[in-house]
Amino acid sequence: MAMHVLACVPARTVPAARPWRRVRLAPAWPLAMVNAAAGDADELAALVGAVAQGDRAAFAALFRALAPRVKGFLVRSGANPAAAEDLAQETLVVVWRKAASYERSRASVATWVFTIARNLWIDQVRRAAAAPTPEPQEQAWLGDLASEPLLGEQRRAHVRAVLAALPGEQAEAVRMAYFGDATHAQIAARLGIPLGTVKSRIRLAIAALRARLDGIEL
Amino acid sequence: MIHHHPDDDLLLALASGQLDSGRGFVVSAHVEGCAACARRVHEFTALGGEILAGLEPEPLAPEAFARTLQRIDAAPPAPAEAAVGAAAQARAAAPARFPSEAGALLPARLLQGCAGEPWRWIGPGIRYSAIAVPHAPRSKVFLLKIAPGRTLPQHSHGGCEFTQVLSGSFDDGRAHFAGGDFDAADPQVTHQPVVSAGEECICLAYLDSPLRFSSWIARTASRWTSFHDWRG
Repeated sequence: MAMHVLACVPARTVPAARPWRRVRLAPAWPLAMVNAAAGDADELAALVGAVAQGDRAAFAALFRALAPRVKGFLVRSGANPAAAEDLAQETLVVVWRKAASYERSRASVATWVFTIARNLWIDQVRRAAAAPTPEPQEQAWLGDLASEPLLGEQRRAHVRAVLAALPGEQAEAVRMAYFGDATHAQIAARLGIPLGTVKSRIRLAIAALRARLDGIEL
Repeated sequence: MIHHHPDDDLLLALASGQLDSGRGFVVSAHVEGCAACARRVHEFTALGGEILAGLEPEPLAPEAFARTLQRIDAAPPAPAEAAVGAAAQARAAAPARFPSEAGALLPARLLQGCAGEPWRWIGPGIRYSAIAVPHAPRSKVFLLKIAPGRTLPQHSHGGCEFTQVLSGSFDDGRAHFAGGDFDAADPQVTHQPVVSAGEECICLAYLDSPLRFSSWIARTASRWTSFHDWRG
């Protein structure tokens, strides 16, 4: 069972990556970490707290820190730039509305925003794929962080440390896993290697990640 | 005790929103009932946040922030959220259209917005119920109920098959699968599930293309039913 599961994960059918659009590939991981960290976790949490009180200046700061990264994530996941821009804005609208329900003990701000963007993205892909539906649908099974089990602060720090400690190539492969098939094909083309090779590198990186999450050094 | 779990790549795909409705539904059915996998999905979600935070920013349109403020001011949250809430309540209040024992085996959260047809006979000791999941009426998710001791026709898969065992157990020559277990079979797998004696087996499954039966009898039987061609 272990070998072929990725082969079973389909490319998203909608929306397709545009062949004329050049996806800008992210630089190597350490550079990205140095240049592009979205901000200190404490700082982001404080901003969300202020946004919950209706503080628009705090919202502007949160927007600057996160909206461009949400857009980057979605573009890399195969959204066209216009849709990614729109969903990034919508994500921040939801952040504004739900700021009061954010609980720091449950997730970092970045993870909270990631789940909001992910759910909006899934919803859009599914709406596009399905016949028009008469009513808005909630994410029945991915749910809200509020209803998901808690990942304690200590465990979150561990997850963060594991990612930071992964060798650059593997960290890059793990990131690719999050962006899905559209990005994998681009990378295969850029490196001139078969798609299957990209996928097996990703699979190996996930195995290394898991081993480290479980405290086993490979 | 759960012995068979989805692979990590599948759990990561779920956490990052890459699974379509049908696959997502069956993998989620496993995750909802498996603390170890739920924890893993949560870790992958936390990791997604870390990756998002470390990402190179993609420049937004100059007016993006102003537009976002307009959206906030234009549409007060209450009506939109009330509409979603009302829809959810209407669904919760609606009579469950799942074959009853199968509905009871799945978490209520997962069943929101879904509909299952009544059991239909598709072969000796084998019953089938198609499930419509939100946004994906043709998502190829279904329930199977197989009588104790019954052997399914030997088959392979044109694409991939996800199976989550809800009750009972079966053995397919590769392994023994019991309640809570998950299996992903790809085109390389040819198997013949045999349900254990003593208890009927109910499975939730996703299939992305028709099964390929090894015998002509099963091929013929499958043509009599929508099991083969996915109804429209």
